[in-house]
Amino acid sequence: MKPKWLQPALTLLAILVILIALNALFGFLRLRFDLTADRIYTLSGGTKEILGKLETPVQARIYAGASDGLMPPLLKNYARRVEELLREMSQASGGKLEVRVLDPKPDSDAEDSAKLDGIEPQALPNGESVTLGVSFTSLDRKSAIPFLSPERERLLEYDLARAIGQVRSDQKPVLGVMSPLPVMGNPWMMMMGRQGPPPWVLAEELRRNFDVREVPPASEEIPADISVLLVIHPKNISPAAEYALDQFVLRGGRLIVFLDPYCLFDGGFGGPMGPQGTSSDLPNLLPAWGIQFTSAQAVADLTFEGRTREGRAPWLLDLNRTVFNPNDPLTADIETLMLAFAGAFSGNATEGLKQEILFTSSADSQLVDPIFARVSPEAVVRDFSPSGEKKALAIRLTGKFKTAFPEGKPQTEGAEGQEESAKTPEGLKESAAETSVILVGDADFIQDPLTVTEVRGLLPGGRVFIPINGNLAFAQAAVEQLSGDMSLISLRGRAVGRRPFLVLREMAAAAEKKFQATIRELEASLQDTQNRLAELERGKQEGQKYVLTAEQQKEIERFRATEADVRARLKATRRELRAEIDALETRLKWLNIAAVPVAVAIGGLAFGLWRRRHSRAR
Amino acid sequence: MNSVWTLVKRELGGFFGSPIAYVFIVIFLVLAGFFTFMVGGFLARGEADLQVFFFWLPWLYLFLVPAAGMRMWAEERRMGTLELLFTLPASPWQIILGKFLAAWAVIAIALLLTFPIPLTANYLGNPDNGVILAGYLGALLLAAAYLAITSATSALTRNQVISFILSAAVLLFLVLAGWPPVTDFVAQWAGQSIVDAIAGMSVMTHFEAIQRGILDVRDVFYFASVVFFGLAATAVILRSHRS
Repeated sequence: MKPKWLQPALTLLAILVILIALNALFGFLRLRFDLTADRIYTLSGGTKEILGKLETPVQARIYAGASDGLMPPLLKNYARRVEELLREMSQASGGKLEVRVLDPKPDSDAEDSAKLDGIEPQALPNGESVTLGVSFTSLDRKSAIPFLSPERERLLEYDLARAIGQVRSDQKPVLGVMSPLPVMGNPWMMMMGRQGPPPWVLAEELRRNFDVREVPPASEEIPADISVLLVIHPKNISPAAEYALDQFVLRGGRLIVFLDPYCLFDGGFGGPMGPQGTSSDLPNLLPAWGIQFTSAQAVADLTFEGRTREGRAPWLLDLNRTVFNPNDPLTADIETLMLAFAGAFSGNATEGLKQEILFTSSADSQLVDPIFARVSPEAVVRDFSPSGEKKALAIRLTGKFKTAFPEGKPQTEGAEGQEESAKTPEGLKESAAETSVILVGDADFIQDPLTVTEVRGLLPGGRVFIPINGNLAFAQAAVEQLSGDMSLISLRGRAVGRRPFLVLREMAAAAEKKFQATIRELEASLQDTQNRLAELERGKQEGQKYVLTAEQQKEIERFRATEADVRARLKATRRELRAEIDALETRLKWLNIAAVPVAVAIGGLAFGLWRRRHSRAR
Repeated sequence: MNSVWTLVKRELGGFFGSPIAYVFIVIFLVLAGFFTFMVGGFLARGEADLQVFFFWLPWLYLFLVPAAGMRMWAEERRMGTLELLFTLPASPWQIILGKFLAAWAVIAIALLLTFPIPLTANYLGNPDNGVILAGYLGALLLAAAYLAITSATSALTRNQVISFILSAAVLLFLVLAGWPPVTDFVAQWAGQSIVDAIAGMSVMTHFEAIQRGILDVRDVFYFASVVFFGLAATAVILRSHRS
């Protein structure tokens, strides 16, 4: 005797199984619509270009699996997305890119292959390990991404395209790095067995695409095989070194220089005042190119003001697209940039050179003394007087350069006699072909503390660096643009997804200005009162020791009262400052939580009453 | 299709003719607003996106959708009007669909009435409206899936409260199916493919995928499958009651 519910239950079970099967089948379909404004999930033009340029076939091998067979769902889903993206890329390459998925089970061929390709399994908390990496091979060239971390998903397309680019038959250009700062890490300290600073994230990233060579800061000649030179914070650069750069540019080399009026992350930890910043400039080259740089002053900006743990920081510039060059590939895909104590460029490029401004400050900016700004940011804000014009923080000069040393190589101080100098060969006077130089007014711009944040990652022992702004993307794009590889450029800048509440920020800035004058007055008055009080107190000690005259007593009381009064007014003014923003926030909260429900409730009641009246009438 | 439309109108009339729809909408809006702004710190967060809002939605729906749908069939069965309903010149499928669509419409209207929130985001900053649109689409699909399950549990019993509890329980399972503690538990006595199957059934995986801004046919198909299954279950259960 079959129970009554058996038939329906079986039917439902059948339907369930069919649906699950269908869903699984659908798993092979790849049809989706990217609704994001930045189309972050669609292949970009740059990727398609790179894929189109593939001449020889490239084999991509995705290694995905766990040592015990149970991959965490998060990684499994991510692995699926990686495979999908690669298959899309394969389609875009017209078949030149072949994709295979392998599970590196213990003691399998796939596991050996993974090891050979440089794929690194990651340890899981339960003792097992998981693998998610991809390798690319083409002929005899190989590249790999040892571990694909889900936190870096927004850069996935870029990472893959770059790895593919690395196995193309093209040669890796040679990039020189010239800096007194430990950009590449400090090998001397490591050789002495001490833990030195690790290489900058920028250095690691550049190494992937380029053959990176260190060039000593005091070099008098740049090696001939270097095609792009990155000069970072050339403090106290000697004329001879500047001459080396001059000749480098004239022979067609591409130069990127990061200058700084106050390099925050240089100089170790200094004395009791904390780290002492240093400044850098190109005193001979810049004037020859028609450019001036504010090597003793930094730009403070109230529209793009940042914050540090200690509070306001008008010297910390948190720039957005509104001040980026909209047409330049370097800034086209970047959302935000951050600079600390940046200097500004001004002047007109000399004849034969074209100047392109890459990004600026706002018009609400002012040049300030960097040390003063660092010690008293509040004072900077208070006494702010905007210059009314945007300051250029990064520029590119393109064209044919003329030498900055028409007399030839500058003489080195003392030592060798006149005969030596007579033997130095004549240098180049003018560049034969067009070349390009990029100048950026901040050397902290590309340092780790300002550009990346370290994320624990989901797996222990996994350290991942996530860019927190477009700085690294900009720097890499600059290097790549000047090294001639344009296709990779449009892939950058997707790392940043921050869309802040601009309105609240502007309101805060506007409110500041409004109350600035009042606060300044009150603070000055407070200072006066306190000075007077101190005087009075001192006055009493001189003569009478312990006994005060009645007048002195009264005066002290009066000034104490004034002090309290001014303090209260100061507090009140500061509260008024926030009042506007708080009012807006409260209004918004009410609007969002109560407005529509109340309207619906009223509407419902009205409707109900209307209906009741109507039905009664019948 | 005409009969479906007539049924929808009839049901909607029922919803809006009594305080039910209004109460549901008001409670939903107040809770959504409260969780987004007060608990979620929407303004303090400073980011122009609706992530906070969409984070709370599946959990809000977990309670509110069963509440909205629990009377769908339980009421008819309790009052004995079920037979009457099926004498209407419409096939059982059309009737089930009609009721479902009407309830879904109420939820959709409530969702639309959250428009102040994306408006606020647009006023304060420059959000990615494509992602917001995707989020709303995902929310609609999520609600449809929840509602279909509720429809089935509502057909199972005459008691609305039991329907509510059953529905909430099933939905909770669907939501948590992809959660590591659950998958680990299943993994102890089942193979990888079963674990995968169960994790793939989780509503959250598909909802979060859509919320990122991608409208993938597979995620849409998933929600459509859940709706189909729920409504099919409703039909099967109702038929077994009548025979």
